[in-house]
Amino acid sequence: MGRIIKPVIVVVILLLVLAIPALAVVARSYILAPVAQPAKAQPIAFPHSIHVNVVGLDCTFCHRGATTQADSTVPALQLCMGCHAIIPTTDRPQLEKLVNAFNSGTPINWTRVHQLPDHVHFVHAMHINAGFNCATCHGDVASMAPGAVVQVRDLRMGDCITCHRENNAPTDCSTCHY
Amino acid sequence: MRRRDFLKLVAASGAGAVVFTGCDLSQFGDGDPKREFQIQSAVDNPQDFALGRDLWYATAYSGVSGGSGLIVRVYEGRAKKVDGNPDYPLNMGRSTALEQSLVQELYHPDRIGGPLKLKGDRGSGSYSALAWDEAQNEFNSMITAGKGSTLLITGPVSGSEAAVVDQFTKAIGGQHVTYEPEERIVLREAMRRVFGSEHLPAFDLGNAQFLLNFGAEFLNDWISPVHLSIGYGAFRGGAGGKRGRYWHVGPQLSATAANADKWVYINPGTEGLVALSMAQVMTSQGLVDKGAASSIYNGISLDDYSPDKVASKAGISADQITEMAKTFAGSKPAIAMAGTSAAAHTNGLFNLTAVYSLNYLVGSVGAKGGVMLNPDSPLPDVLPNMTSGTSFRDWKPIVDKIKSGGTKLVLVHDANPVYGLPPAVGLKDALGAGTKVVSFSNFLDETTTQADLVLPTLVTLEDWGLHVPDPGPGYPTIALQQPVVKPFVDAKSFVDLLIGAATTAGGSLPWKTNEELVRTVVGQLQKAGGGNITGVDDPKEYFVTVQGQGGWWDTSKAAAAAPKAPSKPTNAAEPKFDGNGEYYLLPYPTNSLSYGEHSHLPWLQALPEPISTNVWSTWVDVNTSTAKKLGVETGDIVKLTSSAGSVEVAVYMNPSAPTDVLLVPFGQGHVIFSRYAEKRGENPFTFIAAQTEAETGALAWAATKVSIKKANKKVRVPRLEGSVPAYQLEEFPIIEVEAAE
Amino acid sequence: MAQAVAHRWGMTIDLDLCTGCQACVVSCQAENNIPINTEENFQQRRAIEWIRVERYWEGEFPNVKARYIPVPCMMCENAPCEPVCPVYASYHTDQGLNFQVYNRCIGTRYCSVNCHWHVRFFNFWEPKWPDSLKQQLNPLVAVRSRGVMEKCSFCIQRIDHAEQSAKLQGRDVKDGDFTTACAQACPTRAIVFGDLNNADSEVAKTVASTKRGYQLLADLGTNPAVVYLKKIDADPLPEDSKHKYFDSSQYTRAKETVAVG
Repeated sequence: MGRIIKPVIVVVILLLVLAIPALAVVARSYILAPVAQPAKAQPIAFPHSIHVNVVGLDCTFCHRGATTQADSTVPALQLCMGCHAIIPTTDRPQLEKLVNAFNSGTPINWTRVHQLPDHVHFVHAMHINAGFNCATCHGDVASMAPGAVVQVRDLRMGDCITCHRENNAPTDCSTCHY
Repeated sequence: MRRRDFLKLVAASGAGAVVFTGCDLSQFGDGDPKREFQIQSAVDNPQDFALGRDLWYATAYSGVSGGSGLIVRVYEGRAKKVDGNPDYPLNMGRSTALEQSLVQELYHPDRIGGPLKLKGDRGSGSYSALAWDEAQNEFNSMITAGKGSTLLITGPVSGSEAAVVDQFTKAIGGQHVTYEPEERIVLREAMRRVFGSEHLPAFDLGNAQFLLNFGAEFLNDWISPVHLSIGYGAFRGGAGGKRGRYWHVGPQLSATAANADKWVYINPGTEGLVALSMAQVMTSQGLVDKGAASSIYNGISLDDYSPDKVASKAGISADQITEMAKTFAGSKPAIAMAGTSAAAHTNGLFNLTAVYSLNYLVGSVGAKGGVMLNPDSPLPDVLPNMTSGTSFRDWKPIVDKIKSGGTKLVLVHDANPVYGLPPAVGLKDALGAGTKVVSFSNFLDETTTQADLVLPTLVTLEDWGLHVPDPGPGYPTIALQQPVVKPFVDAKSFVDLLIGAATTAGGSLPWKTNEELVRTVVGQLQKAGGGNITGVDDPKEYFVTVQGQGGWWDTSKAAAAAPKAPSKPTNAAEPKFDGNGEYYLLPYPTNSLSYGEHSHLPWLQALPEPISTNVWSTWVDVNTSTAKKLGVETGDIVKLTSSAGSVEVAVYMNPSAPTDVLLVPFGQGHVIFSRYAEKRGENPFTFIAAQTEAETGALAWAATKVSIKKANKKVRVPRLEGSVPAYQLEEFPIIEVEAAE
Repeated sequence: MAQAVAHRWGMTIDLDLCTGCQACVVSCQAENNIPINTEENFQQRRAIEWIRVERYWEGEFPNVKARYIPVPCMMCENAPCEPVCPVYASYHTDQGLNFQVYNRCIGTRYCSVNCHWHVRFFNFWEPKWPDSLKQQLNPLVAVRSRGVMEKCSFCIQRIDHAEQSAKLQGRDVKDGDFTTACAQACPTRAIVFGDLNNADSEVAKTVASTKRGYQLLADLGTNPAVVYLKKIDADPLPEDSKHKYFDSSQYTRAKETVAVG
């Protein structure tokens, strides 16, 4: 009996060691994938739902760069205050944070939800002008809980390339990498 | 450890790595700024600030030709890239390496972050930080105490800055001196004598057919490199009918001379003699009007300078002089130009006047394809032109006055005279003696470390200003400098500080700030009429348009400057050299570091000197056969000894160096001047003899003779040459060239 | 064989106009986030200059001339650096550019060995800038990390930006919409950049009309997109001194050049 156990243990250990790369790949695809990440903490629990569903704003009302340039951009507090100057903040602690930040002249540092590596150059304008909706990549942001926007699409190279191929968009490396 | 334990450990750590990495990464997403990428919502969103997009602003820089027009790419409040302003007449969209490097001045790691007060001994570089209001109080008390005996040292100033400097010196009853490269002082005097002009000239190279240049580094660091290079491009490109021909006469195959069709070597300092000899040939052979020549070379008997009398002194043959004269007179329009080392001799003024006078002989003054004189500033009261720097000879009484306590306060801005003047002047000791010194520098350099108080000022890309370029493009031109980014450090505008000081001293200036001054003066320009902006009545709109264009210029007033005949003749003189060495020492400004003002910028330090391709160091160019004779080769350290001192530098074997001339670049040898410049190489100013140009008193930095001795040491000279292995196929010559089309 | 491309980006460099001022070199370094070349970098011959100005000697004092030649990447049509890359990091783009994908590169350096113009550079160290100088870095260009080859990209970020802007405006890229950083800085307009396939562009016209054009090492048959215009020598050196060389190995020897057309 003991003579069999020894080689079996060795083989099992060897298999475990050899499985590490495979495990790493699996982990990268599932556990560590961008879409598997929990919602990130934000300085203000911003409710996209109210702004889109109740007020009826278009995404590009605030994310003004999306139609014309690479970055979609987050708005300056001045833009928020265009409306919020007349909206009472009583019993609305999140709103109070905004007004305080504006009055004290402190910029708000949001946590980035979608972050591409430095060697990837994504241009919002090209995609919006090709007729894609924001939701194609960002999902239904309006239905996400306040301050809990998550990444719903993989947005790694395989995802990009697949979509580019389906839509006959350039797949040359230099399109995105330089 | 037994083998089995080892395997267990491997397995545990392997699996652990995956598990723990997972744990670590699961912490991502908790919003901790240390682990998360941030994206910022700005508070205000002014119209000219766009997130995620670059913007280009027009501004100006006073360091190249007294005012060059730039456009700066700004991305989310940070300056990224400097280029030439396509609208501005001197740049036309083009730029130099120095202008490109201005962003490094702005974001320099060793830039002084706020006011400093001397802590230790002078020169120790030991300072303690100070708040601005404290510093300003201290400064004001110094101004009050120094009233009536203040000395202000600046770099070349013009326009709005010069107006404030004038007002300040009047209010405080002080003296203003300008520090600029000494050869420019000689050049300015030559312009006065030959053309009766207070300003440096413009050269209409584009329409010229022949250029005879006596040593001027016009394509590199001379008076207006971008404008002259643009002209040179047109000249070679055949804008004047056919491709222009360029001959270079001088003791060095410099970075500029390498572009010439022909380089004629002459002994250092004999430029004037050769020019006179050319005039003699032209008049005696009837190539030019003899009567004109006698009035131009008034008082000089040209027949004493026939080619056979001059040839041996100049180190060339009489035939070469005759050929030069014939070609010059025979290929009109022709331009004669001289500068840089030609001016830095004991007979520098004679060299320049003799050469520039040649332009009269061939009718090239104020004519198409010739020398164009520059007009006065359109508003001389509020926008004065640049004035001449203080010559080496004039520095001596100034320094003596500081030493004797006659000057109570010394203010220094945009100048480093302790580095740029020979130690024989004694400025460093004088400043160290106890007079209060205030520096407005952004970097701790040789002069600033002598200061009691350092008030850092805004750099080019952060400040306002109106500059009158010198030389201009041949018509009235004003460059508008505006801040393209917010100040990167806690610095203040020099002009603002000076306006404050003048007010403290009891003066009443019509402007409160630099910006107000610029806005007011642009308003005055609008009232004066003319210029590139027409059909705009609203003053606000007018100002914005000037901002967008980068300046104001009036091409219609080009002909306003009429040349005058030469007034005061200069005595013909041969150069005198100091020292008994058998070699001429010829220091030279390089295209990147110039005279050492910009050695703190790493891009310029790393920019190869075009001829030797050396970087980051000081070397001596030695002719190949001379080197063989001395038994040295590239990298060997040699000791150069002059009457003023000695220095050890590495040899660079240069096949174009004349056999009896040793070439040493300016620019290095800073004792202290940021991490990129200090304790690097040698400063030629420390070992050139304190010879002066006979009439102007400017430092004759090319009038030293040295001896050379091999020191038994060897270094690697950092250079580009040889970085790339290249293989010569013997049957092919070096770059194949063909005769003119 | 290379496929037909919409734009064949190319460059003409007129050596008769080049003054060796090196404004192009600094302009390129500013645009493309090239690490600061320290003294040690130069001593180890590892300085990175995507465009460099080489100097060649002709003759010896007093009959001597120095010649400048700016050398960027030649953007060969049949580039020798491409087939040797084991990971396809050095490849040919749809635009006909010879391009380096940094995130693919594993640093074998085969491409640099196979490049006859020596315009490929290896990052032997992690590029370092003091924090304050990082403010200057161009956000549109990736900073290359240690172990990666890099080279002149013909300012691909400017090409992409111009093409995207043109597309958003519903037109094609015009000559003069953009230019590379080196061409923009060049005071004498020696460097001109444009589309060789567009007969109306300045480069195409120059290439078609000039009698001085040649490509560097043209006999290798790689068809570079950089066309040099020979320097005109109005006053040549005397015949006997013209082809004099230095036998000292310290001097950069010339590359041979072959005229085309």
